Amino acid sequence: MTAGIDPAARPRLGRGVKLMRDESRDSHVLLYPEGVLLPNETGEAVLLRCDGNSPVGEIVRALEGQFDGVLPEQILELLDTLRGMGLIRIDHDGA
Amino acid sequence: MTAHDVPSSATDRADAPVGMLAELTHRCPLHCPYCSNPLELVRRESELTTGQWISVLDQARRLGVLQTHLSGGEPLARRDLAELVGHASRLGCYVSLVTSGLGLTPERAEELAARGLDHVQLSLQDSDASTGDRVAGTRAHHHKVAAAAVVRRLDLPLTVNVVLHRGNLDRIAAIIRLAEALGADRLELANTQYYGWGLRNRGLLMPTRRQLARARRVVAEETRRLAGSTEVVYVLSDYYGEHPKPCMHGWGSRQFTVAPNGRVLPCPTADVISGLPAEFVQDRPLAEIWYESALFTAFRGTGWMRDPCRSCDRREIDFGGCRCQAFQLTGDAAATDPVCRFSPDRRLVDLALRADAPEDSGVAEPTVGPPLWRGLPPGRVPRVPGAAAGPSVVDPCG
Repeated sequence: MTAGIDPAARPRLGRGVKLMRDESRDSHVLLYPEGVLLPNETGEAVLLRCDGNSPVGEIVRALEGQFDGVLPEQILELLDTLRGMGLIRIDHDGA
Repeated sequence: MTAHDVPSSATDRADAPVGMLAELTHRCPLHCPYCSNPLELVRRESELTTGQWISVLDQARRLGVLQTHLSGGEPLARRDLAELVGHASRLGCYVSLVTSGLGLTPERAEELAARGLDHVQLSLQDSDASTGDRVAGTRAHHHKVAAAAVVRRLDLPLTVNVVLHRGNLDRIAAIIRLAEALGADRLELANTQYYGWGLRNRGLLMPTRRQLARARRVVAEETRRLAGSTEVVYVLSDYYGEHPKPCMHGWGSRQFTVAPNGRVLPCPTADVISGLPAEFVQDRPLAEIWYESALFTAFRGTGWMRDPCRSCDRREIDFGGCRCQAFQLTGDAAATDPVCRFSPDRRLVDLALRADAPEDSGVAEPTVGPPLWRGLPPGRVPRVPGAAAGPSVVDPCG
């Protein structure tokens, strides 16, 4: 499945999805029509880069540098899961 | 102040809530016989004021609430709705409007969107006006179609919610096509759950097994066809399962409801459980109610459980099921949800399925008397404006 993600594609949040800083939880939270996702530290770092400007390849490199022991496959898997939940879109060329 | 200000012994036992269902009013132009509001509807003069709702929103956000569902009744009946939407949005909450669509004019919708409304959940009764209006007990269908168009023009995410029952299940394909045509991002197809009004009308609402089998096939096909455009969520009544639903993800675990009169409840129907202590936002801080009240700690976690729940491998999966259902069917809110195959009371559900689900003759015949219409006393029938003469007997499922 994750093989389908193009390293040049630029993920962005899905329709009706908001990433917000929640002071009461000291973390970013992902809000969408029927739910709330409280991401862990890695998830938070990934979501912050789903801004429509950062290519997948760049996100993977940045996170590998930021977190010890995080594998590129795990990040691609996370992106794929978020895409499957409709929480992010992964469009080519950021279009 | 934050949620961390409450005593640590309390926070050890409970997480902060993430969602609040704010029932702004029980006033509603519709009379759906499966309404999720309580049988005892709160009257207008007992509703919280604007200032009180603002305080509820402030306290809820400080407590950790991120999702606010502004619901009813029909929340558009509140003239201060835009102000409440704006306040919740400024606090950083994701704001959903749960509406019948009646009253959602372009002007009103534009104002709500400008104040920060994030999402609209629109109810639909059926695939066409004649059957939809019969269930709503008023001319509603064409208002809903118009409301959906308004939401789409504003480019807000749209969820369409349809309660399924014996009277509309056979039109499920047409219902799905209508939701698609209305531009729904998400379609919730929820078979009636039998609480309150729905329980009183169970004999009229319960579908046949044949209807359910056919609906399941249609939904599966349509879900595949619509993948990528409309997300379809299909919920079967828990009567047909062998394990209970993880109701609210556990009592006092993630969300709470505030009724129009300020009563705080772990779920919208918990008032059916008699003997529960009543907690009101006017009397006590919301944080205290959530973390410390006898109401919210009564069935929180697993400590309250008896067997078969206490020793069950699934106790952290379904949390013993639904307390309201346990109370309604057995008279004991601490009993195992009777839909569970391990419940000693499962026969109550099986008996209901036999008694209320009509034989699969192809003709749905109600087994009980006339319906109890939401908001009307027994025996009263809603008058549908525009009908040449008010029907003497209205069967919402006929």
